[in-house]
Amino acid sequence: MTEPIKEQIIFDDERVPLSSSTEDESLTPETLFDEKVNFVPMQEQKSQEEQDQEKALESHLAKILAPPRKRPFFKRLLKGGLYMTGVLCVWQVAETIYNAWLAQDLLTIGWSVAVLLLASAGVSAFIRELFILKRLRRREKQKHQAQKFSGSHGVMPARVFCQNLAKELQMNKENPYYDRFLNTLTDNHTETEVIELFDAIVLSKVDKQALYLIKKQTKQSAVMVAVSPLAIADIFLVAWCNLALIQDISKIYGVELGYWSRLSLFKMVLFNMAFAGISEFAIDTGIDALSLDLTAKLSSRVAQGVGVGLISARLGLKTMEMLRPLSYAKDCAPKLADIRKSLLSDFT
Amino acid sequence: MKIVQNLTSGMEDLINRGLDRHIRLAVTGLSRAGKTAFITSLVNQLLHTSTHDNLPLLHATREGRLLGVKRIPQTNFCVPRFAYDEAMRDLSGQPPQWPSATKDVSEIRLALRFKPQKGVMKYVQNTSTLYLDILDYPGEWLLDLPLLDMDYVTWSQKQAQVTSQRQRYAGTWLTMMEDFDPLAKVNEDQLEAISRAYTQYLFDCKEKGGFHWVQPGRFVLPGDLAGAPILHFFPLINLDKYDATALNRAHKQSMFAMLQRRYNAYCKQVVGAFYRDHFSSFDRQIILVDCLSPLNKSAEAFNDMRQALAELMQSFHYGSGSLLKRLFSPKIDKLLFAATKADHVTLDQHEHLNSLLQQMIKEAWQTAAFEGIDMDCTSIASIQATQSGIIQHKGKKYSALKGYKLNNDPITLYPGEVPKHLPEASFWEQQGFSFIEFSPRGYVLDEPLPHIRLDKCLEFLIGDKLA
Repeated sequence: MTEPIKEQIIFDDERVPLSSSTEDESLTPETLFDEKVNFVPMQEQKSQEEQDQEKALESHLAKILAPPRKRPFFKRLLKGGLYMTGVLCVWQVAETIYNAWLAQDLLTIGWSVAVLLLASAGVSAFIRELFILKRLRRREKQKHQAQKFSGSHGVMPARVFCQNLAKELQMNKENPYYDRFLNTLTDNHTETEVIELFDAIVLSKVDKQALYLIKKQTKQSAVMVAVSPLAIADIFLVAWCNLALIQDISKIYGVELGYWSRLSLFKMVLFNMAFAGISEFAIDTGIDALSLDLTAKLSSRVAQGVGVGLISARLGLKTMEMLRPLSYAKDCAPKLADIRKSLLSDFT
Repeated sequence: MKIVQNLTSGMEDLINRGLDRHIRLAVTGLSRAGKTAFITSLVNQLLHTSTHDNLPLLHATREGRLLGVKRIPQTNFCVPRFAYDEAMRDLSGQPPQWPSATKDVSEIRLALRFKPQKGVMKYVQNTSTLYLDILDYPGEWLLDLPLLDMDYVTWSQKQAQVTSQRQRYAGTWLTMMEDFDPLAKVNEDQLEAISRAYTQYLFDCKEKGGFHWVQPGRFVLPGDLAGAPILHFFPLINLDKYDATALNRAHKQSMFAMLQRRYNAYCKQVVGAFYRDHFSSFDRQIILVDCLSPLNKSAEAFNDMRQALAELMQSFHYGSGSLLKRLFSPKIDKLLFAATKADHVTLDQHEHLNSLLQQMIKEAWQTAAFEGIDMDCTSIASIQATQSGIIQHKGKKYSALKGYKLNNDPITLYPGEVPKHLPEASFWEQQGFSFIEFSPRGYVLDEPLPHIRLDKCLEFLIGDKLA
């Protein structure tokens, strides 16, 4: 034993009231969180040597796997050029306005101001996009953080983590589920238990909302495909439905999708659309070839609708998984089979 | 319509009877491990589930599927009822007290009504009932179970080994053993006197030495057997002084033959009956371990408890069986080790308590792990007696506990650190531990008892049956 074991202390001389360990701390939650979250209990058990070895291996692997980096010199040139262009732009604008002011050229001043306004709108949109992207990336990080808590026995960080999550999900203390979570929580719950409780009491309700939405949207797109007479109309309707679905789910999970994140999800939507188109084509030709009667045609359209609906559902579930701040608890991930069941029962 | 209704209700009855959703939970622990407190709190928590949100980590209550719990009369009429009301009276008294130590076997049966979530039952019936049988008994008696596998000579040899480490308490008994001749004719008075000295030695081991492994258990807690001749025997500790063949050929009326007969009768009639009636058919088991009290005593006390737990494990059947096996020869398929009195240390020490528990039960764990059953380790407080928090002391922040000592004086303290591993023996000479006992305050009338992680225990032990 390296450190001596601490002895008993009796505090009877001063009758200072106990402060609850959750309410205590003048520390701001954010800093506390960062300080404590760094420890990973598993690593403690490894010897220093092993850790070093692992680190060396990892960095080696990272080097191999990393995308080819741009030459630093080239990068520096590019950066310098960009900065300089920016400064020059500002200078140019300032000088133009100044000169126009001197020459009393109101038209030039007007134009400059107009361009300036447009430019600042562009810049602010750009900054906003960056901000949103950062938030989405943080969501990904949160999942890892929550996993780090598993098995650890500390007391504070998980609470702060959950508080922040609740804030992001736009929940305040009036929200019945969040309130129930806060009420069930005692000082004695460990990190893992706090995360588990938050997952089960608060997040599961959010999941339910999202699932309800997915089911509704799935049904809609299935009906649309089943009913619409034109293949091309299918494609657009389903695409529109799916985009709306992604938007709604992200809103439920308190994340606004940015341009890039939407792009990556959009890829899946495109795939979905392509599927709708191809299946349409395949069924049409198939029916033509076999010259089936109307009822058969109708039922095949229903089947097609169900198929497309299921792909929508899969997209919705994927979106949920991406946007959910915690990974699903064991055996708790919503399954496509459940949605299929409800979809089929609606159609038949 | 009415016919259909009748039919479904009839079906439900039939299925309930046929399926017999039923769990026997073994609450195992040495004496003073907190079995009675655990059972009291468990019953109390479950009874409150319909009105309070007191078990959030039990999935069925969290999801609102556990509709209610009721105490129902047990099926075994020969066993006394578990004194739940008396225990609650003790806890709510002025001043509150821990439920008194168990003196005899008792049983309680609970019916848990819940909405099934999975499986065929979901479609057949709206609600389902799980019957939970819990048995309480003195921890001392548990230590007798290993006797079933030993004959008198083996037991004596084993006791000789154990006694060699506890010489300082055995003085009187050992001197009496000096002039005891096993081959002489039976002398009832001498047998009684020596067994009395032996009993005193066992008491001293328990109280002064903090040792738990004292056999036979009925000597220290005889129940209705007090004074009966079946308890008048003792291990023949100086066995090596006698020739084995001479002992084997000893006359029927000799002391040795009498000791042997009494030992065998004890094993068969007392221990065997206890085992057969109560211990042969468990489905789930929780082993409660009080890691703190042996720490207060010595390293030997700790190792002694560890030994006792390892021995105990041999008496239970483990293994996951098929449905048929479950019906005819039930085995324990889930096992939970729990360090009790987690409220006696500060929150940051719970992890240490856990790893200390792991050290304590290492051998027991290995025994059960071989059978491939589901096992876990946790730290709990059945009835939370302290309030934890943070205190300013000389400009520094300490995590602290606030509670009442057993004599009801209020106290606020940092109880000291729990070692992650058992320290070396020299540590007790320099520093030692002094984890104090607290009296059970904090119970508010008509509210569930405060607890730490009892819900997690329940989830592990019966959670799958409530799904």
